[in-house]
Amino acid sequence: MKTIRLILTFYKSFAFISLLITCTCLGLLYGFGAKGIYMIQALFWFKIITLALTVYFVNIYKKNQFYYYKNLGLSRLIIWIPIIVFDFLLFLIPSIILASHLHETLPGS
Amino acid sequence: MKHSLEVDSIILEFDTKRILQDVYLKNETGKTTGILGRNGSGKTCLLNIIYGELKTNNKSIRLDGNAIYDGYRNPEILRYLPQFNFIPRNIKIKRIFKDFNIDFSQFIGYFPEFKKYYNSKIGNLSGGENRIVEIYSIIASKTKFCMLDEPFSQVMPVHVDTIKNIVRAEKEKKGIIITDHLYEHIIDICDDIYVISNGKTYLTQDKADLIKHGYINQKGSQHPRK
Repeated sequence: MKTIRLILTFYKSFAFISLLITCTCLGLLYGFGAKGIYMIQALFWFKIITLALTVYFVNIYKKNQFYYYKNLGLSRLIIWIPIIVFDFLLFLIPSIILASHLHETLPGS
Repeated sequence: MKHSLEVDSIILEFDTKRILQDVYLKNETGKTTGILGRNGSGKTCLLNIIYGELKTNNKSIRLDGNAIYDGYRNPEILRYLPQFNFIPRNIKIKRIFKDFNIDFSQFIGYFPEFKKYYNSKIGNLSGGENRIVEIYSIIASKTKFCMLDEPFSQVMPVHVDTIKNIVRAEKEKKGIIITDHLYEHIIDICDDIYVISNGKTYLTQDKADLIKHGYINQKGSQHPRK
């Protein structure tokens, strides 16, 4: 429980920007209506690249803070893996649901 | 139970420059070990190597004779106070004490003026106050050994004395390794003092050894008054 709380504390420090990117992607997907389904590949890669950039810059700008988590037994890897998985699933699952909904609205489907 | 932490066979090189070689350091439960050395001599690097944060090809770090590799993986064995502020600024004081499983009332016993900060975020404290919370969270938490890198920097003299008292009290339960340029305080509280010179560690006996290794001059750190 303590580990989850600590990981959430770290995630909270950049969650806003990450969620903003996810919402933008989903908004674009939905906004383009039936044609949005053709954008899903580009949005998929956009999310991966922005997530990689987020990890890169957070690692630089918050490098001192990792000592707090290390002193509590959490290495960088233990912190990052669940955050990356969670953040990506937060994009992937709504995208799949939205894409399947858009697929149904395509003419001829 | 008494534990021992031994460090040797460390070789650290940056490009072609050899920073550390022929290092030996030993710390035990109940002892405070000081590390002194000129700027750039490799004190912080040594602590980072012991902690597992800095990788080297050669190192031997042993807890009770058994090799340990990445100290940070087990805070029950080793905790580390880096020389910079490391606690995220948005975390509340009460949360820090909960995370490190330490008693706030005991902390108030040492620093009564911090009582009002219990519900404050650490980012709202001054640099010195921030440092005191960081130092205390590392020294007072449950661990076999702790390493303190420049704990007296940013801290006002009256609090330095309190920190020294905390170190004296906590060393009964753990081994403490300290490095700081305020060497008078280090001499005052440490049982053993090593000086790093030319990448090697030398166990010192008295102030004369510090002079011999070029860490202090004959007159100590006296500055001419204007």
